[in-house]
Amino acid sequence: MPPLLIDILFAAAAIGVLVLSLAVVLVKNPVRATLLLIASFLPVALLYIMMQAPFVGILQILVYGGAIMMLFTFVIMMINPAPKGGEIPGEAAKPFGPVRMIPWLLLLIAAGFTIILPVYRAAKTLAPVAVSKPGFGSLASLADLLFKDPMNNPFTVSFELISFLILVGIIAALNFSRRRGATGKSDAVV
Amino acid sequence: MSVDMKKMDVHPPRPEMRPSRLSWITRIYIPMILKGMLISLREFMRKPVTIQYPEQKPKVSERFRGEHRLTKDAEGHMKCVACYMCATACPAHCINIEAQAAPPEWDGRDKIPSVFEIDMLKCIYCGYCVEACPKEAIEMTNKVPKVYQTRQEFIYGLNKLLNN
Amino acid sequence: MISMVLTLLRNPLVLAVIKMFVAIGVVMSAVPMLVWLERKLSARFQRRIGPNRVGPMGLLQSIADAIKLMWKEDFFPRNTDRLIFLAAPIMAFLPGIISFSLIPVGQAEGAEWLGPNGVMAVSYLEMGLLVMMAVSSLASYGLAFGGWASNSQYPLLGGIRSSAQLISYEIVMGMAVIALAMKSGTLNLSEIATQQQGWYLPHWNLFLQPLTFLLFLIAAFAETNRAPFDLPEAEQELVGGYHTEYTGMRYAWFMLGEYAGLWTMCSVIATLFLGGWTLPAAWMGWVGHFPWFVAALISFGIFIAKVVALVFFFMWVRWTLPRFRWDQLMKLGWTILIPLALANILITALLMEYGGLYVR
Repeated sequence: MPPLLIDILFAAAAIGVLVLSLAVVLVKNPVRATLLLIASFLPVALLYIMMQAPFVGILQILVYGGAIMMLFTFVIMMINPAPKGGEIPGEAAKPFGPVRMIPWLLLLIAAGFTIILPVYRAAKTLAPVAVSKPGFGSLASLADLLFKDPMNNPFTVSFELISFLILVGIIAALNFSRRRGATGKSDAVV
Repeated sequence: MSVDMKKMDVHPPRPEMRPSRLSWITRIYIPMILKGMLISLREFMRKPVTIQYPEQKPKVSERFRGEHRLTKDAEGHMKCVACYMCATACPAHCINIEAQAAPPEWDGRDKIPSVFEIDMLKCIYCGYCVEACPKEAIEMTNKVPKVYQTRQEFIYGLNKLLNN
Repeated sequence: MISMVLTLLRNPLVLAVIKMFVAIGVVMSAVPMLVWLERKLSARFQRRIGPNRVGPMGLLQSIADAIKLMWKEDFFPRNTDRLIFLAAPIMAFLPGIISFSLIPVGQAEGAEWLGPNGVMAVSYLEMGLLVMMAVSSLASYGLAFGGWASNSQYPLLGGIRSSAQLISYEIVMGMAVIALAMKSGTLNLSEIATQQQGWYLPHWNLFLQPLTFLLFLIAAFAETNRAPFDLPEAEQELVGGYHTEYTGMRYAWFMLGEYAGLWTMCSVIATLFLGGWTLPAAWMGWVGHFPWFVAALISFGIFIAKVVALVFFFMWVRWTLPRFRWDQLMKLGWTILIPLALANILITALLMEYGGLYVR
């Protein structure tokens, strides 16, 4: 890709991350905040992919965007907390009034100048190192990093331990779901 | 009269309404799913039973009570003598008759209807009018009731009923 | 003139744009046909005739329905979150099209400019399978948020069900894919399809990995929200579920999304387990001798035939099986399918290490 296109993509993704993450914090309606958080993962994934780490970028969407946020959505919808600041859900979620928007906008511009530029400069100096390795960030190089020479590889042990932990978690969840309540009713409410 | 619970096929209430244990072959789903899918495939192969109604008429029984018809005698005159029996018997009040004097050359009757209307929207096709008629002047054909665009068209007059 | 067009086609940017339009066109023209097919097939399974008034054999019925839906009242339920209410149908629809762009639909041998080895796909990602999983995992948000934004009980229940169902069955699907990736040694969809070329049938992953196929198929039914896993829209319990409050074109987007998802899921299964555009006995021997566009058409035809056969299978199942109850669905997912998927990974690993199977 031409460098200008990369610059534009980076700027768009960085601004997207900032704006969406700020909005997650500022929006009063929890469901909207969840949606914005999911949306903010997409530019984050784009940033990862631009940093020669496509695997991490895709897992960001698959694991965080797809699975974990779905769990969040499920829990938030189950509890259905009342949005603060108003009775009507649609009305409540308006932190950006026409007048109140000005300080947020100023803050955003300031944040843009203070954060984006240094990060971008740092990324620019770091980038050539990453690009110079052919096949960097691909599946094969990742597999090499994790599993090559398993006897002397510190990553292999920790990776296997973590996967074992997740397996234990799954089995624990299964065990909880199998246990029947005191009343003997196994039917879920939903 | 005492009710025999066993004969009426009523399950006695169980202390715990728990579904009965299925056999293992049912519980692994797959064989039963295949069986069900073969059944639905067999139905898929068979001919549809749909009747494309306005183009294709359904085959009805000889005794089907369809649209009415007014009958005629040997000379070709209508048998009806405007006695109002059918209108009186009609539970839906869908028959409207107005009488007039019969022409002198028609034998054996004093009156004939000048207006004989049946509102097919009100009619319930019970056949009481046929039962009530002393002259066998009204009968039911096995024509399936038709559909029209306006309410006026559903009111069948004398000519239509005679030629039905 | 033709040579000018061909030179223009060799420009990668122009080719990419054309491919995108073709991919969108394939999905968008497949969807109305699928709706028609579903109505026709459901009719035949119930010994009816189905739509046959608009166009030959009722083929234009979907278009008539779309025109009708466009003229419907633009209805908003009271006190809803309008933004999410408007966005949800699009969120449900987009993933179907996006993931279809990853699927290789054919091979034009001798046309290297079309793609590597002449494989026809919009994108040739090294991690195509992972991207496909990631994109399709986002499809359920449209349902969940649409159900929530309707501000009504039944849609909310449908949305919650949809999210819970997706969490459970996404794990099963992911684990099934792990076993398949172990066998294939790659996540590139066109490579997985190419590996299944061969002169006899057992080259297909369907025969090499039957348990993986079964697990993936069951998870696919759950992810496309089709019977027997159509709990989010269960008509009898939830009066339509997440799209109860939707009318007109917005409802149509949900319907389109559902069928686009079905189409894409069937394409994925055809690619992963049925050998994609390849056909045993016929492939590579004689098709390669044709000019590239004939080979492209033949391979594309084979692919479409496989997908349509799978669609028929999905509809056949839908009109045969009753719906699972909610607790049965969860129990099946967590206590049967996930342990089975783990065992499947173990079996595959053992077969590779000690059985000498799947060795490349």
